[in-house]
Amino acid sequence: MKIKAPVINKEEAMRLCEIGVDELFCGIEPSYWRKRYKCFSISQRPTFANFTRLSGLEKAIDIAHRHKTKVHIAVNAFFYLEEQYDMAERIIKDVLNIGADGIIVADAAILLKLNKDLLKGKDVIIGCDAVVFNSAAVRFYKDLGATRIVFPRSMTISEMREIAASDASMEYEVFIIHDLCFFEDGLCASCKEASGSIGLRKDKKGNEKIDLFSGPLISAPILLRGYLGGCRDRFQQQKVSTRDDKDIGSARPFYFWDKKHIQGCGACAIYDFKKMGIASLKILDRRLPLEEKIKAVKFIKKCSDLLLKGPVDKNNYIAKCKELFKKTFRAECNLYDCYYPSVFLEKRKQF
Amino acid sequence: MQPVRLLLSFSVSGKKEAVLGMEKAVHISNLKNLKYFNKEDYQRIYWGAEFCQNLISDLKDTDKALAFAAKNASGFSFITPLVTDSGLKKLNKAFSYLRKNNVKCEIIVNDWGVLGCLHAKFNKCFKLALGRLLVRQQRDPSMRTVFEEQSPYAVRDKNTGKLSVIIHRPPGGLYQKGMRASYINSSLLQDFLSRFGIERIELNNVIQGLYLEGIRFKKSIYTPYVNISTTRFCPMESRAQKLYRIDMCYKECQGHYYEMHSRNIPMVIYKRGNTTFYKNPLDIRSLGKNGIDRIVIQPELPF
Repeated sequence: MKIKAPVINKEEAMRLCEIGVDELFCGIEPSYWRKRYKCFSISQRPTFANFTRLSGLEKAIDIAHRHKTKVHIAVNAFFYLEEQYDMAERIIKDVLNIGADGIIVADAAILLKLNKDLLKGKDVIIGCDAVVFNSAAVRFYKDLGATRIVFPRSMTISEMREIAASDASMEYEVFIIHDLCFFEDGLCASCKEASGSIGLRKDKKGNEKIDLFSGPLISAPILLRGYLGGCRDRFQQQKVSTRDDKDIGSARPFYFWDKKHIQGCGACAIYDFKKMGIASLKILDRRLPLEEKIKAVKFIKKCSDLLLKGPVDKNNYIAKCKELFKKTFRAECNLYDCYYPSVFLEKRKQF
Repeated sequence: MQPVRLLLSFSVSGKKEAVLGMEKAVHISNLKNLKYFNKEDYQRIYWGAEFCQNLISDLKDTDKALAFAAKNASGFSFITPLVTDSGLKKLNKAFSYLRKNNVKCEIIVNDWGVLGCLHAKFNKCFKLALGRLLVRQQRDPSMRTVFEEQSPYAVRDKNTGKLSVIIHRPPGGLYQKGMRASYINSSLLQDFLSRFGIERIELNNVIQGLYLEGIRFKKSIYTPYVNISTTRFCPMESRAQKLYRIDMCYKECQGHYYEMHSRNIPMVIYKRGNTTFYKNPLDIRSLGKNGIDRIVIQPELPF
């Protein structure tokens, strides 16, 4: 299984390749996009979490290719405005021309727009935002030219196994660490990327600038009083009976996304992923500090390598992963931060 | 649950009547809720679970709902949620049953796999509409704040103590257009969906308004609930249980829902089952000439 990591500049690409990642993914927001559509992110991330120049990306791709590492470019907004498709197409052409190994998309219309010859021999990856939960949806995207599917977060191991078995000619990718969220990116309007805060920061020259929150779908130049970012908000909850609409007590506060970036782990599931033929294990969060990315890659690599030395008992494997987790992150793993709790839990009751 | 007060039943003149040229439907998810249907107000029943495959109706209940619709000469739309392979099997059975009984109904599709399956196995058996989960509007409730003017205010930097005045101006035209648009504004996608037999799209009455230019499909609009976020990690009791549950369903959503309040969002957010909502009742006068020809009333929080 390959290990895939996020990257935002060539220095990161170098460091991550040196420790042995097999694939990198990133976004790019070239100046011609920013100039025209500065409010809209092309890849669901604010500008600073993307490459901003093709030349920089080209250097990162060169570095990656020297290490036999592939580079996939996210062009994965939920959708684009009609007038934006031409520019999105131009960006895809540009990145493929400078050697990118594939694209990550969420919007089927992008695939309809692109010339099939352009994508020949390239990886066409359907991101988690396209929400592929069943084998018929895999066929739907395969017919559009997809070569790999990224499974959404909220799937059980057995559901993934069933899909992977239904079409072995497709590649499958899973989330393995960081950025665990209750809600599915592709079904969420308070996308976690809206999280942020307003304040002052210093730019490279030392000038103070107002921090802008990066809005849903976009990196929006909008400042709002007291707005901390959609899903980071704390909600007081009142339980209400469906029978008579009467309050029946309060509940703990709710957050759409109450995790830090550095939370969520599915390392114990690698055992099952290997058996079902998953192609790639994805480390999340382009905005993560490099040191955390490196830590995550090393941890996942160690967990993966446990399976290289021949047959291993699943319980032993899980115990070793937990030990490694504790050693790496100095914390006990727990079910609430577990990407794939179905590894541990049997179905208690299904209606 | 108390039924939603239906402002829509009244035209501008105040008389209770159906809006001219506008079909009115009521969304009903279980047999008990057929009580919300009445012939005077509605011409169609939307039947089924929109967001959760654990709540797909069994065939017996669907059959009873069909009989009820036939008795009342009402149109029938069968809503389907997003599904895994097991949910898809359930839906396939339902589609086969409907075809076998020659039921002329509409299917609302919220999953690309379901659309592919209908196209491959049940081609032209049903009318097809693209559901709210696939239309992908921008449904963030904070849009109200974004689109409103605010008075200037100051922010103090935590480290330096320096104050900066911040002025919020409503966003420009392109941004507004982007936030009001949806996935279906793309003409490429519309052509593609037409090949699959899609004739209609289902829309939320989002708080920032709609941008429907160039959409050739027929359009339905839902009121009063706008779905914000959906997941298969059911959030009903997960936090209390310290566990993200997927396949352990105890149907808590049938007994209660949650009202949620945040000081930063000036409206109540509702959580029922695997989906969160906000309420934005439809003002019929705001619809204008944008081609919407059906209103779907949700008398209860849907699931």
